[in-house]
Amino acid sequence: MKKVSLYGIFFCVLIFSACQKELTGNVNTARQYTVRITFQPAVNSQALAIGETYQNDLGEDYTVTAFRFYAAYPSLKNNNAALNVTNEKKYRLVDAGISSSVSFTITTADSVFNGLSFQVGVDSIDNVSGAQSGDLDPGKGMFWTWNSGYVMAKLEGTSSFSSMPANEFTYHVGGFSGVNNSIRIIALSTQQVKLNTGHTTDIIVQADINKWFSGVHALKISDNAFVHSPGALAKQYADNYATMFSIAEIVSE
Amino acid sequence: MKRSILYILSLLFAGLFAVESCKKQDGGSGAPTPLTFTVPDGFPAPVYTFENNTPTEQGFQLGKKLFYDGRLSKDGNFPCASCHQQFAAFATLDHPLSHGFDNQFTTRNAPGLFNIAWMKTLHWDGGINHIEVQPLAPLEATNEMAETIDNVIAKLKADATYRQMFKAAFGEGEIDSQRMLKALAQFVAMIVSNDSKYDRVKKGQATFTIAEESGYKIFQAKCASCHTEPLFTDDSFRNTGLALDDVLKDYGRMRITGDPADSLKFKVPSLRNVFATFPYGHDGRFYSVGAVIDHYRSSVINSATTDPLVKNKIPISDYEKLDLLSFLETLTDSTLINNTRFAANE
Ligand code: HEC
Ligand code: HEC
Repeated sequence: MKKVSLYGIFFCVLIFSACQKELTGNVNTARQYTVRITFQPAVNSQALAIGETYQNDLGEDYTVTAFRFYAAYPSLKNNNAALNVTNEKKYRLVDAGISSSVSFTITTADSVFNGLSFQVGVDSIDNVSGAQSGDLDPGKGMFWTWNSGYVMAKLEGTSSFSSMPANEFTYHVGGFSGVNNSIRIIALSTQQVKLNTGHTTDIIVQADINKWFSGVHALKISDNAFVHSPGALAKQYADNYATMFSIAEIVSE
Repeated sequence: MKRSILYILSLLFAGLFAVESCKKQDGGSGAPTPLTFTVPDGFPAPVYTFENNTPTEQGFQLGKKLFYDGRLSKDGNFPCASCHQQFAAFATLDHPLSHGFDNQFTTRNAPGLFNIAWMKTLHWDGGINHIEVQPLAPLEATNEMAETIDNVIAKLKADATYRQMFKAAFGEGEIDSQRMLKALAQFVAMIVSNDSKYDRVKKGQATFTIAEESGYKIFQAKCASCHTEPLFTDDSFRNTGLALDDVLKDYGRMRITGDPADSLKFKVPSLRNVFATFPYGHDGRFYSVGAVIDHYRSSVINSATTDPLVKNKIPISDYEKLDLLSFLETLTDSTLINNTRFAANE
């Protein structure tokens, strides 16, 4: 009996305090350090130029017309201990064609790190919860309308090796559940970095497109000019692009 | 026992308290009018519970306007309602495949729209996992409405009536696809069919004729494992042994899962209002309910995925067929078909 009513009180308190929090403003806490993460689309450590012709490691020429991916949960680590990071938005749609989309800042109360991690893809729950907004707005062209779910990453372009009309290739990689899961966690180690208050520290993360074709699995454009659904092939592309990220530079001014 | 009741009560109390303590000050005149979604007696709990999309009269009216508005399609001619007609329980009457943009046809038969809130997945292959994202499929399909989301949103933003209706339903803030989709879901999910003669018999307000009663018995014995009451579907995917159409090459559920075990499986359709929604089958190949019954009794094709329940055909005599048809006719819900609440506003 007594136990039961205690539960009730516990819930009231819990909920009441949740509402309270909403009312009180931002409490000014201790030091805050700002880190800006910038994704730099690249081919072999050269910044990607849309429309330029490149060669992949399988000897095939290609040009890129679109390159996008969802980045989520950026976090900093110090010897595997996660720093306390504040990040405004859960998902960022990084789009090589929109310069404002490749950079974002996070803040942290801790000052030393030697690793960066993030997720490429949209959590399973956000694939099955109906209409979303912001970077997850289906109008962004990253949602499969006939087989509900987000495209986690997309690479489109042309290659003389493509058997598709107009020599196009279109890799739309997605799949969020069970065996088709294409969500990938990226963990990169960095030098030991000490953050300073009042200064933004920049982490430049390169995303090497060549890795889409040969990061782990050799995937020739001549064999597969497109992926448009979840499945084994999509997962191979996800394995490949999971290796495309590297730290190019860390600048603390 | 007593203990758990008290526990639930205390939770309820906590909930009420939370609602009270969280209420914003600004209530009053501008707030939309809440709508309740009533689960009919005997129906299971719905799948769609309007989570993060509390239904309101304003949201419903906005959804209805969108449903009937041709501007959601590229050339203005193909609103949702062009393929989902109320007199056909929101299916496309008399067309195996529906007309869409630029004289093209859909590749599947448009199902009736009712009791959608109880479906785990939508479309014949279950490719759509949530009612709110369903409209994106016809909107963007080049053989249906052939529009882009951005274009539709731009058209809505440019219209003063829509600006006012979106505000009334969702408050301040931009018109975006999320709000549009939520409004459409409020309309579509509210379409409930539960007032057929069958329902009235169940409630003791009407009685079956002898033929209907006999048909009901046959139905329960031979059909109900898949077309399960009260929704008349168990929401599963099954291969009923239809021949693959050489042109459409539609493998159904396998298209979504990529699993050969799902080859030629399609969602079990509800048989409510079946007499209003002809033609029948995922590609509309059957021109009468009788023809579907003939399929079950004589032309089931056996393949690796054909359902065990129909593998050996379903034995149905000519008399039984007539009784079955009489029973299925009792599933027509004329209250739904004539309900002006779901009809276009003039
Ligand atoms: C060109 C004709 C056409 C138009 C326009 C159209 N639909 Fe459909 N609708 C269909 C067809 C065909 C299907 C079956 C699709 C499938 O199974 O692949 C369908 C399926 C559905 C379903 C799923 C029903 C079920 O039982 O799984 C819903 C809900 C629906 N439509 C709502 C809408 C809404 C809302 C709109 C407007 C935004 C709309 N439709 C516009 C033809 C159309
Ligand atoms: C093994 C499960 C199963 C059994 C048993 C079954 N059905 Fe079906 N029924 C289905 C499926 C699946 C479909 C859709 C088939 C398709 O188009 O691919 C369907 C379609 C229908 C349709 C067409 C409905 C529409 O809107 O297109 C009718 C009518 C129908 N069944 C009646 C019956 C009757 C009457 C019985 C009993 C004699 C019966 N079914 C037994 C699974 C079943």
